[in-house]
Formats: sequence, structure tokens, C-alpha cells
Amino acid sequence: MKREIVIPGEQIDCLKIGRGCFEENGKFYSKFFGVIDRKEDNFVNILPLNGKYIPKVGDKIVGIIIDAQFSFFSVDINSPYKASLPLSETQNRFDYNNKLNVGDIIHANIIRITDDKSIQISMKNGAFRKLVGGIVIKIMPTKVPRLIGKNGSMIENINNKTNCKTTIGQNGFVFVSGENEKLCIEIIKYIDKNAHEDGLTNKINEMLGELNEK
Amino acid sequence: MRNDNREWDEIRKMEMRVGVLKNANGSSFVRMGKTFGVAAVYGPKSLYPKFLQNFDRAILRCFYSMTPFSVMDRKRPGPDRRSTEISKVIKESLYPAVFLENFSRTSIDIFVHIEQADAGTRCVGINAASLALADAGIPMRDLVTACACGVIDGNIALDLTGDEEKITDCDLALACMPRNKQISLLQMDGNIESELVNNIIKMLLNGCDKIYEKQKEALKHKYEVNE
Repeated sequence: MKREIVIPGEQIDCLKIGRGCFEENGKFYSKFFGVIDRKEDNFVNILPLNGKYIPKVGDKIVGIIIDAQFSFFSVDINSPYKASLPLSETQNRFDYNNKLNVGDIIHANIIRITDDKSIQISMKNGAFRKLVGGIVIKIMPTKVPRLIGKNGSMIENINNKTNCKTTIGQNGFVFVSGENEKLCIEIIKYIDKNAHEDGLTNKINEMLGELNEK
Repeated sequence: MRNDNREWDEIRKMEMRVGVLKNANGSSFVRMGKTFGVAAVYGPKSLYPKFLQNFDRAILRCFYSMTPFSVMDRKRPGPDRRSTEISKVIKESLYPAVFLENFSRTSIDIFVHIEQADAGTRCVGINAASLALADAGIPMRDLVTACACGVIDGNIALDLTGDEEKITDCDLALACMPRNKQISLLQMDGNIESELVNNIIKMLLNGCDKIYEKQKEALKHKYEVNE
């Protein structure tokens, strides 16, 4: 299957439009320089090839704490807007062994976005925690779904073969820790660079295959 | 026929590339004849000082500059009256094309740098800036293309060179969004007979269509190279 690339303002023939399109005089056009993602029922999304992360409520993100105030932390979430993490939304505010500080990496989700784009995140629910003993790398937020693969198949494959643990944020920050960090990062960056191409799974398997031979 | 063996309604030889700068979010290189320049787009990014922020939309900022060696007499580096005006003109011609309302409280910065000038620098600036915006993944209604036109001995001449610019009666620059033929910039120096204006605009819109095809090609080429 060849992927169709569209430029801003290019007409798309479809019946229903999703993300990344707009309507003008009953016709549909692309907003982005991106790839067409056709779903059943003539439903179309445009996946931009480049761009900044725009926060959505419910997104699971990886962030870096950049400032500590009396009652909240400011968190860099790789977006034009800063997020704030109130002390009351941290995991356990009285657990002094696990307390947060500037420079720490956290896994959290977005719980509220106000009209003036102040973003509140939370670590209250089970899986969210402080991430230690690894590196954060930055990829294009628009390419995160490609890295995860169908039902997480791609990232699971990478994790198993390289013996790494990865935490992927919707915002494009990926936290990597484990045995073969270097190769894992190399592969993630390769996916980031070549996400628009077909047959990515095979190429990744090739790269992972080399590891097993060594 | 003109000095450089072009027809009156022919555009200079063009070259366009996208993604030329590594550190910019989006970038492009555009050459039209002997005029060429690069554009870089940074953003959308958070905007400070805070009073510049717009509650419900992003602001667009444009910085146009020329290298000191871009013209025959050395151009003094730094901003001057002319570059301030062209910055404003480029910004306002791109304004209607960008979905600024998607990024409240942010800024989108465009830097246009002309390396060599031989007439039509503002048009090259606009063409390059709109390519760079698209490359940066900023939502747009359409690309913006621009082209200039003049009148030499009663003939309408499209896309003037530096030599032609010296002898022309007028110099008319136009930027448009080719899909709907919506004009976002129309600027003229000199004098012209009013009957000619419609013909000139028609010719300019045709010229813009040709440039649009080139821009399209340049964008799509970026992701074909790797295959």
C-alpha cells in the first residue's frame, strides 16, 4: 500500500472527515502537510509529518520537572505550554523517600485544560510514577502511534528483544531504561525518521536480528 | 523576447527545497533566477513577555533580512526601513492562510534571509516562508505564492529581473492563495494605465499557479528521497 502525501489546502475525496481536515463550500481539504489515513466508511484523518504536541485531556505523558513552587511543580511536556502538577496530585505527598525535585522525570496524565491553556496533570492513578535510572529521548509527537504499533506490537517487540523498559508519552518524550539502551534508542530514532515509510516492522526485525547473532 | 530569452509571461528558472535547516522546526530554500534565500520557522512556542500573548490565537512574527553581499553595493547589515516594511508585508500576506486560532497564547516566528538579490526578494520571501510553514506542520488553509510583474515598452513582463526592474514603468507584486485565487498582497510602485491592471493581475495569477506546482513538488519530494 502506497501512502498518499498531501499538502495544506489539497482537496481530499471522502465523505466524512476527522482530524487535520477542514470543510469549505461542501468540499474537504487537508490542513497539514501529512499522510492520509483512510478508515472504513470513507472516513479520513490526516496525520501531520511534523509539528508540536498540543495537549489533550486524558493523554498519558512523560514530563520533566523544571520548577518547584510552594504548592505545585511546573513540568516541561514538550509543548508550547507548561503543565503544572499540584502537590495534591502527586503520588504520595508525605512519602519523603520518593519526593519530587527539579530535573526529575515523571509519568503522568493530563486531567484538565482550561480555556487559557493552563494545563494540569496528575500522578494519582495507579501506574503513574517517578521514572528513575534511564534516559529521556525526544521524538516527533506525530510519530508516537507508529512507534507503539498495532496494539503495542512494535514497542513490545523492541522491549523484548533489547531487554529494555520503555515508557512512551503521547507528547513525544520516551523514557528508556534497561540492558541494551543504546540499540533501543537507535531503533526508536530510526522509526522517528522513517515513520512515513512502509514495511517498517521488517526493517526493525532486521536490526533486532543482528543483535541476537552477536 | 526579453534579455534572458524568456517570453513575456514566462517565470524565471526556479529551484525549491524543503527541510534544509536542521535546527528549525520547518525550513525551505527558494531560488528564482538569480534571487535566492532561505526561510526558517520556529514554533508554535510559548511567547514572552506575557503582554504580547493573544488570548485566543497565536501571533505571527516575521523577520526579513539581506546579507551584506546580496547586492552590488554593500548593504549595511541589520534592520532598516526597507526590511521592516517587507517583514510586515510578508507577515500580512501569510496571515489569512494560517490557522492561528489553533495555538492560543503562542508565537510562530518566521525568519527570511535573502542570500542574493536580483529583484523580487519579497516574492521569494513569501514563497519560502509558506513552504517553511507547511514543513513545520502548521495547519494552513492553502500555500501562499507570490510573483511580481512590470510594464516594459507597453508589454507586460512577468517576474522581472534586476536589469528589467530599472527600466520598467511600474512594479506590481502580488501574493495569493492559488486554490481560491484569493489575493493577500497587492503592492505597486510607479505609474500605470488603469486598463492594464486587470491584464496584469490575470497574468500574475497564472504565474502564481506555476509557482504553486513547484512548491507542491518540493514538499512531496522531501519524503520521496528516502525511499
